[in-house]
Amino acid sequence: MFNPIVFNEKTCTGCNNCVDICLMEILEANPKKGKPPLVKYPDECAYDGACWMRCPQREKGAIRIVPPLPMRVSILRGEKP
Amino acid sequence: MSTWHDYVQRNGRVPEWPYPINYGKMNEVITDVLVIGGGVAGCQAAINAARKGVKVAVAERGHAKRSGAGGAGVDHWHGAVTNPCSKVTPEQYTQACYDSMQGYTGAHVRYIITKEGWDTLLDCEKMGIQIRDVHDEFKGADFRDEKTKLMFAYDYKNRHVIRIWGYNIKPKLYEEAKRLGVNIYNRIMPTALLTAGGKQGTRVIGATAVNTRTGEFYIFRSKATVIATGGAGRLTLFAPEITASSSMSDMNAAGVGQAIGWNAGAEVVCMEQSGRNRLSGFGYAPYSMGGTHNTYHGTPIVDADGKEVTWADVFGRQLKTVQERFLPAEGQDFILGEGIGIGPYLKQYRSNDLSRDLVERIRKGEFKLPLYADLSRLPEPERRAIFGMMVGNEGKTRIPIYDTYTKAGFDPDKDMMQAPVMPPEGYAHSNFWGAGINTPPTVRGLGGGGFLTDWDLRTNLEGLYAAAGSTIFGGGCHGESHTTGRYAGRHAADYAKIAPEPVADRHQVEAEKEHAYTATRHSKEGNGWKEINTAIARIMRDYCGQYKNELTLNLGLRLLNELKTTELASAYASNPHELGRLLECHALISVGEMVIKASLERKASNSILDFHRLDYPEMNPPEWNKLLPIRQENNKVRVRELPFDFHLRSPNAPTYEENYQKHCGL
Repeated sequence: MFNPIVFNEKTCTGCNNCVDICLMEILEANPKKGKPPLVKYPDECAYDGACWMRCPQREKGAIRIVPPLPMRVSILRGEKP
Repeated sequence: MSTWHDYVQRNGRVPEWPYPINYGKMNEVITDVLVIGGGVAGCQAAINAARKGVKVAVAERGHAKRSGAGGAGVDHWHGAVTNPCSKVTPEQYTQACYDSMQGYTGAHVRYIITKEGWDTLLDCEKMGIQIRDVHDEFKGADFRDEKTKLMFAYDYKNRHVIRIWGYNIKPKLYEEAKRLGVNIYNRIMPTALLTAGGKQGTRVIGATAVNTRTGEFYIFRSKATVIATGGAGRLTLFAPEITASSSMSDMNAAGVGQAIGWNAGAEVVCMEQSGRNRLSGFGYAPYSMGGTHNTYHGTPIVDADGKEVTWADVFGRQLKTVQERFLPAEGQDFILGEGIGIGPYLKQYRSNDLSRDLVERIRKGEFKLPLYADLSRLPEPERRAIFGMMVGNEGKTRIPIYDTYTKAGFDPDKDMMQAPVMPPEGYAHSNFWGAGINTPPTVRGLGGGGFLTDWDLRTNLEGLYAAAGSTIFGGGCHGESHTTGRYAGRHAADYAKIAPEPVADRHQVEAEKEHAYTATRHSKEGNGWKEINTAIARIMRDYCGQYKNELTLNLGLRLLNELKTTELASAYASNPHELGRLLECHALISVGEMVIKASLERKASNSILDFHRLDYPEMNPPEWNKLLPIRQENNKVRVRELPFDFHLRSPNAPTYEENYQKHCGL
């Protein structure tokens, strides 16, 4: 399952600030209070990070943005080609 | 994991739509100025109209705190030519844009941008945006002015592009608009402009819209209206799962402002201009790959054996030091900088670049792919300014690039970023490598065309003003959007003060309401918005791609119309969100029609517009060196001819400055 936004159930408090700010409306509040939001429309994600920037629990890893796999890039670590 | 699908699997049922749905419930908003689009341009328009003491409403598709192409931040600001360190004048900068584009740009808009760009940036500083190196992090760097603490990009001699810490620029604008009492309506999808008597070509008196959470209907009645929306990013390419990671075009970018303006009778120009669409779908996330463009200007590139690619000035002379890459060459006036909506640059203004024979040398095997960006070869302050300050502040680079790379252990002091592997010709110009020559040539992006405005940034329609980089003819990038928004907002407010009360036409409102909700009443077997969008993109690619002729264009028009009257007319939306996306498809079709009709009017190929008519293959015949604005009257296209320098001809004054002084209202 393609999933651009991943929540950590342990640290997300279900405050829904991210649902409030999400520009593309891909998130939906979980019907169960206190649980992480549902990623309803994953393929409409803009990867703009508005949700991440608004998350009060981001330092605790409550929310993570995962760029699309086909756009994965390569870096050379500490070695010269 | 918490996806919608997980929830369904765990609970065995679909969650109910979380907001109360009231399709058709009427909400009326009466305001002096309505701003459509709450991005940086829209927020500036709202703030500056509100400062004039009028009542302002913003209709925003997402949430105005972060929305728009500039919502995630900005790292440099173009056209700040009146800053105290600049050696370029507004006249010189405007002329450089106009001459480079051989007239195919709104030079009056460029002049307004350069007259007020720096002042607009100072406004932003007052709102809490850091525009100077106040913490002395880059003291002594050659791109920094020690007295003002301003930091520059591209041209360290002429100093008109300013590096800024803009990651929070949008929340600050949002807060300022709220503080001034602007009424911001989020989750609003506009469906049409309201016009006097409900007729095309008359005074604009507001708009109709649908809330994409509740489905409620909105009538905005306004004395003046500003369109400040983004471009139609989904017009020629729609590929779910990768489309939305483009830098400037997100999923909400459906050209809605241009569509409703066009349908109301507003005049647009140069909509036939397009270019290879490099920013979505087939590319990589912007600025994620090794390159030397824009934020990464000046970065050393090495090949797979570690051999460094040489840099050259525009006259082909080798540049030996990194410092020289940021200075105009002997014989150049100044460097304009890139990403400002200029296609080809005249040599006097073009950036230094990788050696122009790189393509040939890759073909011969002299440079071995893949290439890498080696930031470690930059002087330390430059490296820190690029990967750190700039990548940490610009648009969508803060999280996907800076944060992700840093967490993955990327160290710009010793690691290298790989450049995309492309056919050799892909390396001809360092401009946006990461966005990819691997994109099919039929995938086109609009660029340069937009609403034709006068020196007040008013359209041909009374009461309708335009702003924003990708919506106005003569726009540009981030700073340009702020500045046109600021100027259009002031003028809309001035007009609203003397304008008569807006009276909406009952028939027009009823017709819009009827049209807006058709998709909610249809059979669930109707097509969804993604299928429709994919079909629109296919029609545009096949019939209005890089190469066109009279017949393909007319076929494209016919197919768009068939789609609109059959599949789109019977499409189904299961909730207000899907309804919003379907209404965007209506807007995309309007923009597609506008582009095809503009393309039909230009019966000549043109290199500046990257416009190729197979039935008129001669490039740039002199009799076609003119602008061809189009508009709709009784749903028929009206075209007229306009000389490039219309903004300096009667009834306008003969110089930029005289016109500006007459119209700026300061």
